[in-house]
This record gives sequence, structure tokens and C-alpha cells, in this order.
Amino acid sequence: MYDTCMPRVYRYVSYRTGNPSVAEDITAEVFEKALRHFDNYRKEKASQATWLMAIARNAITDYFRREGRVQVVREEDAPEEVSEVPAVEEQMERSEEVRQLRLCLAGLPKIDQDIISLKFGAGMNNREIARTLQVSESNVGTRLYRAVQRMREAFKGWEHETQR
Amino acid sequence: MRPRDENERQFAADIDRLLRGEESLSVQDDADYAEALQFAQRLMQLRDEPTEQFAGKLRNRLVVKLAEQDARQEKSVPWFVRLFSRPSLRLAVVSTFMVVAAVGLLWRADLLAPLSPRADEAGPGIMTTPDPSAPPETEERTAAPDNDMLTMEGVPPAAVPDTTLMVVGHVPPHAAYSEPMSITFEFRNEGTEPVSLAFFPPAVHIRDAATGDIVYSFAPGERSHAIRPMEVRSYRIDWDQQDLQGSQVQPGRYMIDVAVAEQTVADERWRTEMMTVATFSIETVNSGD
Repeated sequence: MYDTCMPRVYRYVSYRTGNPSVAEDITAEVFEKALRHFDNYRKEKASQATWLMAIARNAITDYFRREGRVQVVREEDAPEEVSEVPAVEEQMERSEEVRQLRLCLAGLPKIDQDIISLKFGAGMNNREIARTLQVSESNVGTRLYRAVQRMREAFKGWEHETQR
Repeated sequence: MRPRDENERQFAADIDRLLRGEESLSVQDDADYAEALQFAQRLMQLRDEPTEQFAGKLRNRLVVKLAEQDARQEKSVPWFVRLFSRPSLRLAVVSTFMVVAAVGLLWRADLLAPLSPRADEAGPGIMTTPDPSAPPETEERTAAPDNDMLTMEGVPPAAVPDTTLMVVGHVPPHAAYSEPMSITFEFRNEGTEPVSLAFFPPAVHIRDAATGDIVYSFAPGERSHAIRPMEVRSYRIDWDQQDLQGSQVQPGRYMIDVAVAEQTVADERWRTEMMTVATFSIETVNSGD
């Protein structure tokens, strides 16, 4: 279970929080919790991945609650100075692009952030996402498409700004 | 343009394909849809993988926690429940009961009569109680234990339940205070099938015998190791008598626990057993005498 599910849980948490060290802490917390409460797991109700993702989702909610903030993109993720070296400049642009994508994600409703993170981070299919979030599969499909469109629109706006 | 719900269905299917590293199947006749797919590919780049170092550390931490959890649960279960929860012991108890019952039935049916004289044939003068002056055989056995099967410290080799793996810990029974000491472990497969060990060398806990508290732990390794039938695998650890905070531990009696992560042949599931394999005491040396 660990070898199969740990990378998926980590990717989901990391996608959702945007911070690798926080993702490591939360992933560890998820597996320790799962170990303590494994007797409560019922395979007829959910797959192990779905069960773990539900624990991870609660742990992320607790994390943001503890931190007393909604998800924000940290300033230190942004490039601090502009370099003349093209490779470094490219890297800076890339990191600014990543920061903007994270900002676009953070601007979505919480459930859409979860859908995007479970899809692109954990690589789950719509059925698995629906079971994790306890919504219908068609609802996941609709929300996924609309959330991507909304992010795209927001990202386009930023691209136009930077190109001017 | 395609209807929106068709786009949504197609979009999810295309994303799943892209996530698997395959090409999307959609015909690029819808510019808006094609742009959405391109943007989705950007979103995939936000994905971050866990480092190997983190994966290894977390795995070790979970193995130790699992062993501790098992040990705690084991202690809280009554002895008779523990006895019947182990398939081999349950089988042994049930088989013994059935053999005794079968012998009883045969005895009652008089089918065992030819093996011993019947009461009416033996006559009234035969004594059936043992001679009180004869030394009791069982007491002699318990008084003279089998020294080959004891470690130096009097802890018998620990058998991993339901398997053929024996674990022995060797440590000097009396260690001098603040002197570094070595502990050697032997893993012996006494069966006919190979036994697989994971996280080798295993996690080792040194516990205060009086309080049961762990004073020091050695983290498990990450290797897997198969022990062939009758093979003995040993390894040694050195301990400087310092606790987890880096302070010298107090003189007294200590126990050594080993967390063995092993694969059973029957169900091929990995499981862990925490077992006490040796005890020793740390004593202050009185140099004046």
C-alpha cells in the first residue's frame, strides 16, 4: 500500500499546498493516521487510495485552519532579481509562470482546487475523485472542465499583462 | 463546436490519457477545446515527486511505529486470546484435544485393552501409583535447562510466531557503566522454506526493564534479505550507552527488542513482530575495592 499510494498522496498534497516541506509533513501525518486507524478501513466501502486521499484532504483542511489562512502563494517562490544570463532568465520566467498557475489554482473554490489537485497531482480518474469527495462522477467531469477553463482565463490575463 | 457536456466527458478522458503518457484522442477541430488541453498539460508540470530520501525515511518510521503498535496490542490481549489467534498454536491445541478425545474413546471402547492388563486380569494386589521414593522425572528436567538453547543472558531464542525464524541476541550480561558495548543478533531459519526479511537490519529498541520505556532506538535498514533453510544470518550493533537525548543511561537492567519485518509463506503479506531477544545490566565498577 505504501509503495503504491505514498507518491500519489504526496503529489496531491504537494499540488494542493504548493510547498514540498509541508507536503512531506502532511504525507507523513496521513500515513501515521492510516496506520493507527487501519482497523476502521473497510475495503467494501472504498479503495485504499480513496481512503488515504480522504484522510489527506482532511489533513490539508486542518493545515490551512491551523495556519489561519487560505492558500496563498509565498512571496519567496517568486524570482527576486532579474539576471542577464538567458538560461537563468528562462528559469525565472518559468518559476514566475508556476507562481501564477498556483495563484490561479488558489483562486478557485476549495472543491475545485481538490478536483484539480487529485486529477493533475494524484493522477486519479473521475470515478476515484468522485468517491474521495463524495460527489457524483458527472459533477466531477463538469467541475474539472470549468475549473480548467477558469484557470486558463485567469492565466491568459496575466500573460497579456506581462507581454505588454 | 461540440456540445459542452460532450467536451467535459472527452476532456476527462483525454486528461487521463495524457497523465498515462499517451496521446489525446480528440480531433483538434475545436480551437477552444485544444487550448484547454494545452493548458492542462501546463497544469501537469506543477506536479512534484517525493524525494527518495523522504520515501525511505517515512517507510522506516512507519515500520517502527507498526512494530510498536503490534507490541502494544499484543500486551493488551489476554493470553488465551493470543494463544487462539495464532493459527499454528490453535491447530496444536485443537489437534491435542482431538488426540486425547480419540484415545479416551478407544479406552472406553476397550480397544486399548491388549496394551495393558485389564483390571480384572491384574487382580487386586497391583499398585498403580508411582513409588514415592523415586525421583520425579519432570522436576529434574526443569532444574537442568538446556544450556544450548539459552543466550548468555538467560533469554531463550525468540521464535517469530507461525514461522521457522529464530532470533537470538548476544550481549554481555553485565556491561560496565559508560563503556561502549556490542550487541550481536543471529537470525536462524530452522525450516525448509526460505524466509524473507524486509528492512534489514531490523529496528532495535533498548528498553529500561523497570519502566518499559525505550531509551534508545536503532533505525531499520532498507534492504531485503532472504534467509535460506538452516542459514544463520548475524549482524552486530555498537551502542555507546547514550539515550535518545545523548545522555549516558543510568545503571540498571535493560531489555533488547527487535522488530522483525517478515513475509509469511502462506499469505505473502508483510508483517512485523516486536520481540525481546536479550536482557543485560549496566553496572558501575567499584575501582576502590
